[in-house]
Amino acid sequence: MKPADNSTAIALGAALLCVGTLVFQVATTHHRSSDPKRLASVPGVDDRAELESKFSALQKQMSQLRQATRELQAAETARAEQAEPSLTPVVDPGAAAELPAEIDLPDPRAPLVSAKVRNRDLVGRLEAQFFSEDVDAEWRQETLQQVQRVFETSAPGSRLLEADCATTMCRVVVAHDTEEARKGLAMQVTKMEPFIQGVLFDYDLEQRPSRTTMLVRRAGHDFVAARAQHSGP
Amino acid sequence: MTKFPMRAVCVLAVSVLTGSFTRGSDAANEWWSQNGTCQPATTADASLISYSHYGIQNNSTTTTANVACGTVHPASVTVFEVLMNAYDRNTSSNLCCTAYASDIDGDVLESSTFCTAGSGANHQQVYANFSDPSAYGVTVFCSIPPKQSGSLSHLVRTMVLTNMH
Repeated sequence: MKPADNSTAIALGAALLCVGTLVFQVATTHHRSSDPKRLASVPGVDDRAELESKFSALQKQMSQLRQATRELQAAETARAEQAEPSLTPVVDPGAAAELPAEIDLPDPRAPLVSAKVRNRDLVGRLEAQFFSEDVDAEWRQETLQQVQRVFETSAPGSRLLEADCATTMCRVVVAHDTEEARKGLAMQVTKMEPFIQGVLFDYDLEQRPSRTTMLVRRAGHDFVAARAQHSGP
Repeated sequence: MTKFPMRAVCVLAVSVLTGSFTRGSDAANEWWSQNGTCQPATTADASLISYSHYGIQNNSTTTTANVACGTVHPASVTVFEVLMNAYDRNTSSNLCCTAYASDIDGDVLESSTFCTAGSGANHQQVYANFSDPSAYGVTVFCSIPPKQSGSLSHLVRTMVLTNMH
């Protein structure tokens, strides 16, 4: 119970005590006045009916005060029980850390930034895998020729800067004469071998001219081979 | 005296109130988004196709029809897979789709092409695996082979398996 509630209860208790004292005094008087031998000796108290009426009224007031005190205490107890659970997780940092993630409302600007960071991480991991792979020399030679043909004939405005292949993927870097050429690249090359197998694109817009790095899958090799397969809907 | 586990009770109560028990592993947070009805890629393609409960079909006996199907997402999603259901009745051409996972500005993040294998009366379900890029949309372009010996090829649907970030 809160301190303020204690004060209320103390005040009510004090009032109860005062009324009780009064009742005791009146009762004592009543007892004395009920003694026929002494009734005449009490100055100013001759009306027995009046005394009994006052005594009865005081008893009634005491009963009402007791009832009010009980109701007040019950109400305060119920309020305290309801308030504590909702306050605890917020006040206690340890409890707040255990709350489910869904109630943490995300910053609406966060997804855009974090998506770009995730995609950069993905490209970085796959590039690291590419540079650590052995080289399948035959497949490499054949595929590099295909790459060269695509940029000689089918990707106007994009120039081949680097191209190399390992065993499960190739890495191709191109520069773009215009922004339009950069934006058109994906639709131009992905219908042709080897790009038809699957390409991960990474755009470097800070370079002048802008560059695109493409990681190109070899047929039969997924970028994420270790990921669990899904059974479909 | 043993302390009453008020914290655990509070966390339990909050979980019940927020319905967060539905969240389990990452796998439980994955879902398939069905692309809407596919549209002809060009006006020329529009004259070749028609629709039925089997999806979109190519009525031409000579020309491949190109269609586009797309999903957009209000926030970035991880793209795991794209699938199609199709009927390929052409013995010389497969029904192929190229899926493009794109960024918020439309730049392509990853592409993958997947095709039916062979032809026949039965429907085929074909998947393309993605490398889990964080994308805002997936557009699927499909080429439906021409009608052959009176049998139509259909693209029934395309779907994207994603996981909300």
